[in-house]
This record gives sequence, C-alpha cells and structure tokens, in this order.
Amino acid sequence: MRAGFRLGTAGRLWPAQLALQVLEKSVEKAIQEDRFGDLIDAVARRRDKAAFRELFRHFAPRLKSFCQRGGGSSEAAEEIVQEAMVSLWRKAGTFDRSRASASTWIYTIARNKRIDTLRRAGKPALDGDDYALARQAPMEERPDGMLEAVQSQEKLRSLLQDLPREQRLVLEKAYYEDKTHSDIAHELGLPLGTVKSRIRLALGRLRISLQGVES
Amino acid sequence: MIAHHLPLDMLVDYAAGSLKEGPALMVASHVALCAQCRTQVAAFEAVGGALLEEVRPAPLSEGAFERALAGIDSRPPAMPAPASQHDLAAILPLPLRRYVPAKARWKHAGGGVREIGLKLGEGPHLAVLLRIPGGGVMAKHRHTGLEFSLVLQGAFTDRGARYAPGDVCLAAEPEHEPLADAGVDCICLAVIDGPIVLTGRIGRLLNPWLRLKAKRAAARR
Ligand SMILES: [Zn+2]
Repeated sequence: MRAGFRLGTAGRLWPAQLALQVLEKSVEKAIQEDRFGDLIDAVARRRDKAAFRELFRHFAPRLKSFCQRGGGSSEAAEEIVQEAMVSLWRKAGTFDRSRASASTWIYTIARNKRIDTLRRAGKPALDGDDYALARQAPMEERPDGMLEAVQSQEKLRSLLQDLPREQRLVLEKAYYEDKTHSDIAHELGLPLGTVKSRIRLALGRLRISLQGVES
Repeated sequence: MIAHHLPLDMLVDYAAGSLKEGPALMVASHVALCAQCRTQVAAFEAVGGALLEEVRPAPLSEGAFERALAGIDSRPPAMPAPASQHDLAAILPLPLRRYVPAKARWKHAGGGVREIGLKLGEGPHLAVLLRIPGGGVMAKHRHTGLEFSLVLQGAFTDRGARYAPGDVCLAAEPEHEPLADAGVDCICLAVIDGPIVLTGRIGRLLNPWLRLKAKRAAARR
C-alpha cells in the first residue's frame, strides 16, 4: 500500500479512498493489458502460435490503420503490418516489460519497419534493436518498472482522450503521419514556435516530464 | 556527466519516426550514450504506443494471418548486426558502427583535420566523422542550416562552452571555430543540415570532400 491512502471514518469515502478505487480499476485494466506482455513472452519462450494469433488479432488491424493514416495505400500498409508481425515473432525475446508496455514495443517495431520501407532504396534503417543493444549507459532507475510501464500506458490513454483538439491534432500529425515539427508548421501555416509549444503543452498534459528543456 | 543534450523537438520527431536518416543517426548515437535522453525518448515512444491503441482497427485482407504464419516459418531468425572491425569500434556507439566500414580510412581535410565520410541513403544531410588533433582548431566555417557535433573522444571548446564525450554541440548560423583540448585527438560525429560555407584563410582551401557532398546534397533536395 502506498503512502497517502487513508481509510475514511464513519463510512464516508474520502477522496483518497475514491482515488484508491480508481487506481484499482486501472490496475485491473493494466493487468488485462499486460496480457499482451504475457502473450509476447509465450511467443518468446514457447514459440506459441496461438499466442501469436491473439497478438495478431489485436495489433495487426490497429497497425494497419496507423500506417494508413500516413497516407499510404491499403496494400502498402498491410505489407508493413506483415513485416512488423514477423519481426515481433522473431524479436519477442528482446521484449522487456520493465522498459515498455506491449503496445509501445510493438509501436516501435512498426515505426522502424515503416522507416525501412521508406529507405529501402538506401541503407536499412537504424533498427530499434541496435539501439536496444547500444544501451551503454544504464536506463534511469525505475523500481517496479513493469507495473509502472503498464499503468502509465493506461493513464496515458485516458489523458490523451482529454487533450484539447488542437494539441491532439499536432500529436497525431507527428505520430500517425510521420511529420516533423517543421512539416507540421508548414502544413498548418503556423509558426514553428507555435507547433513546438503545442506539442510541449500536449506532452505536459500527458504528464511526461520534460527534462533539460532548452530554448 | 553529459551536459549538452539534443533539442526536445528532435527527440519527439525521432520517437514519432519522422526524422530523416542523418538526424536520426545523430539522435540514435547520442541516445546510446545518454540515459537522460533515452528515458525521454522512451516516454515519447509510449505516446506512440497509446496512440496505436487509440486508432480504429482497419480490417485486413483475407488470409493475412496465414501469410504472417508463412512468413515466420520461412524466414531465418535475424542475425545480429556484424560488429565493425574498424579500429574505432570501441568508441562508436552501436547505431553508428554500421556506417563505418572496416576499411574506412581517415582522409586529410586540411589544417590537420581528418575525416571519414558516412554514406546516407536518404535526405539532404551530410554525416561525417571528424578528427581534430589535440589542441587543434577546426577551420572557421558557417552553414546555412544546423550543424550537430557529438563528441566521441577527447573534448573541444566552442563559443565558451566545453563539450566532452556524449555531449552534443548545436551550431546554428554564426561562424564558429571549435578548439580541441590538448591531449588525445578529438573525434566527433557531425551531421550537417544544409550546405557548409567555409570561411577564413584555411577554410577556403579546405575540405573539397565536404564541398562536393554539399553540392550533391543541394542537388538531391
Ligand atoms: Zn542527452
């Protein structure tokens, strides 16, 4: 039990208790969400095709939709989905739930596949694995990393839903449509500084701490 | 202790997957050395994960799952990237290694500075390893875009700030003239966005390679 939650007296629910109930709900959801983490582990440990099928059923249609938001054709999006899912199968052993939730990990795989496709003519993209292997400096300490990564994923989603529309829009352009800050500024006819501050405001609302922010 | 980091918006763009190869190489290399920026990138990637859960699923074509199954059965497992045999490998962060072939040699760039050009498959950027002798000066130059230099070995001072391994020096418009610390050679990864204009006496003679690359990059735009 964490500090800060005290039982109320005389049958009244104190705000802290309400908060506890909400927390329990989100933990429930979190556990539910981490089912995907378990499935990835099953793929890693037992090469479990049933687990793979379940992952495919959940993630493949979302990945397809995600890729299509960037303006690609249905065929091109499916091609990336195929590559990403095969990659998931192969790299399942590198999944580490103390570092990322299942959906975040799968997001990075698909993102890298999409970059690969764009750069196919040239050199294979900087693979996420490279950078996973490249951890020469330790990640910042995260006690209880696993629960935290999963919980914060749930929290993130609900905070995302509450974002003001203009902030959500710039985030979607950045993530779904692969647009840089300057691309977005250009497209929306906004000064670059405005786009920067909208994205920062959005990240702030998502309670992502922005360290060492310069300029 | 890393004191000079990458701009936040560049880390967001990297996590969102929108950076071109040159700046992406810069971010991946810095992030390999810097726990703070890596944690930050991981947080931005989590936004990507949450947005992935938020999209409305799109139906896949028939037989998509069977194709994936065929894919996992037919392809060999990924081989780990071969480690570069280059002498520099020990100081190169992993994402950078594959850009430095074992047979890459330092070329004189004038003024005692040497360089290894890195091949990018995409985008208008230039990427180069620079080696400035201990106590030496990189010729005065300016660029129309941004120049990022990531220190891999040694250290240098530029416009009053000191940059040590892992630090990134971001030089925008004005001319600058980095000065390496005495001692070991200073080795940096430099990624340049936009043609470089060499100024000063040495600069005019210097660096035909960079000039050529700059012309090509301008033509690719
Ligand atoms: Zn950093």
